[in-house]
Amino acid sequence: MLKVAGVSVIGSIGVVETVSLSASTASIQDAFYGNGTSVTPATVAADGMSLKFTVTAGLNVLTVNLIAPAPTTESVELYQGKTILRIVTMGGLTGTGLIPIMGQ
Amino acid sequence: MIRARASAISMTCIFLCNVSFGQAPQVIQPSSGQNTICAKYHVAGECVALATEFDPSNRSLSSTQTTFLDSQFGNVTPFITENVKAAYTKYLADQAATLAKREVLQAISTETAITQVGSAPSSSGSTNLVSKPTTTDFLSVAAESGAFTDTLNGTSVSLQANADGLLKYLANQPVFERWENKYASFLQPLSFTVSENVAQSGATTAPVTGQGTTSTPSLSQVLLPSNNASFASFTATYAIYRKYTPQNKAFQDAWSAALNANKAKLDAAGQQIALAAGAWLVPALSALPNSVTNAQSTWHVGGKKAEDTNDFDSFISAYADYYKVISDYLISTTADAQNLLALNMAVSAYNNAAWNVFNQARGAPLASISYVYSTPVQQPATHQGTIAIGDLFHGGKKVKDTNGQVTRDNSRTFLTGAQLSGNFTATIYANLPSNATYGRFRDVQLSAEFDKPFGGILTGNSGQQTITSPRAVLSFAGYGQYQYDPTVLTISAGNLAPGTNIALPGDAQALLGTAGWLGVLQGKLVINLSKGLQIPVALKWSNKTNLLPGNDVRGQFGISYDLSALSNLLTGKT
Repeated sequence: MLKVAGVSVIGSIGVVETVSLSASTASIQDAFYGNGTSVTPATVAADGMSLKFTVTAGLNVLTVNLIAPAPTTESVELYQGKTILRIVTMGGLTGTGLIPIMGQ
Repeated sequence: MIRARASAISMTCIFLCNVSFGQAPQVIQPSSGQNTICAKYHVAGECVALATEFDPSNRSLSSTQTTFLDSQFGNVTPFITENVKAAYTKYLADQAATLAKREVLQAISTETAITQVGSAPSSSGSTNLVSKPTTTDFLSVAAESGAFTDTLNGTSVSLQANADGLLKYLANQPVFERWENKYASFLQPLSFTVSENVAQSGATTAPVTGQGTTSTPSLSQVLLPSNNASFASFTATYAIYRKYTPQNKAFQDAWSAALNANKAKLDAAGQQIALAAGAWLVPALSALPNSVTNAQSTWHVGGKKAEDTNDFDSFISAYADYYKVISDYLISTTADAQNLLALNMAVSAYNNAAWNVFNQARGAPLASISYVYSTPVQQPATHQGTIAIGDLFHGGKKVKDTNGQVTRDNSRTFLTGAQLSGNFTATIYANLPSNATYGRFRDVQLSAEFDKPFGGILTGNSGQQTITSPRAVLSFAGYGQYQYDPTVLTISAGNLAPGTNIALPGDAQALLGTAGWLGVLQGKLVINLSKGLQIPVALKWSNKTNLLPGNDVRGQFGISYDLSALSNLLTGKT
């Protein structure tokens, strides 16, 4: 399980984590996990409401790109279990949430 | 407080939402009082997140000393909105990347649909027998020569402008980037066209001051030939789009198809966001300075105390101090500012790609309405109203899916990218002399055109295919006009009554030709030489012309340029 700790979230190296989206119209279009030089696509569920990725060592950023079929300013939630990881504000048709993750 | 539990609004979920909503923490919409407090401390963009953390059901800071709010700078849209101007002051934007992005957006602009770039069918010299519902996104110019219903050939130059494109240019905004402005959605479908008659032959009178030779009869005035440009017509056109609702199944299907068709572009744009975000945050967060960690500790103490005492104002005050420190830190170096600007550009490109998907799902305009004010040569001015409708064919061969339903595959067929347009037009005279022998209603017109693109690139799938950048478009059009009275010819001052030396008054008019039906058939080939540059060549047949009876066969040609293709010259100054 991911654990919020300061400006980043702590995850265990090698563990496949699942992050879910709670939203009325937005869905996850794509998601990437990595740093500024290389990123790996996360596996997005067919319904666009959750994603999976594998935690690696060190500080990386989980980037979650959202899309909605109509302009909205809705605030949506990326969470795991009962833990809120990020609240994302949609702007127009899209929104992006960044979650810094420290793999230990 | 209004609680927007995801489970409560799942009725509106248009996707297959199989998330276990029961586990999702609640997102809390702030009350108006909470919004006011957030605005007071300049953290309005994070007010939903703050109200959510402050809600008694979510007070993680109070219970675990940790909160997602510490890294809420990862809510990209508000963070960029609040900090991008500061970042610009630290770093000169990467012009090469900006230009590359504009190239992509400009390509989208000039790829869509079969647009009208010349003058209205009623204008002298027009090569368009039928108006199209779509026009330019910025500016286009066209020079055309020929005539449809007029006995005399005309040559005209037309300048067409899109209201939204012009406004963006005048406001120093990048013309081909989406501008989040309250007027943009209203102005985008509005365009204007002004046409001028050029190489127009005419005559003006001039008084004679004396005899050049003794054999010359005594004259008071003579007619001098003139050749000048004059106003021909003004057109205002408003495009009407299909009304859509996100819950509508047809729109959902079109949205899904457009998403699939653009998945590669969206993923590429999304990957750029991830790379920019990593380059920005990983080095910055790897070694936080004491100023940030101290501010974080202060915020945690103050925030917990505020949660324990249920004091929202103190809670926001404590967070705002920390948020200011971490925000300033994240753009404190030139490299940070550069990385945030790169992230901003990547997010903007992703947003534009999403709008491209949205516009594909919404489809081309169903119709347009237009108004034309014309001043034909030696004829009375007219007001004209036109309704233009259009339908784009996607093609594809009929196949059965796994459920036995008949659908269309992704193959290119004869109809792929073809377009059918139809017009209904009514014309009245702008002014009717008190002693006129004809009525104010001039004519009604019906016309239709079929456009078939050749060459180009097949894009889209799942029944949404179209052709972009065709090498040429072949068109066949038919036009019928019922005229209630013969054509009115205005006789210019200086003409003499036949067989006399009596000068006619300036408002003298005569009726020529016949009332009734006038029909035109046209075949046209528009050659796209390069992006934005078109040469229309057309041949038309009509059963008569407006002044003379008898069949008429005539050629027309022109050249037009859509200035949307000159994206690099149309940069907003920021």
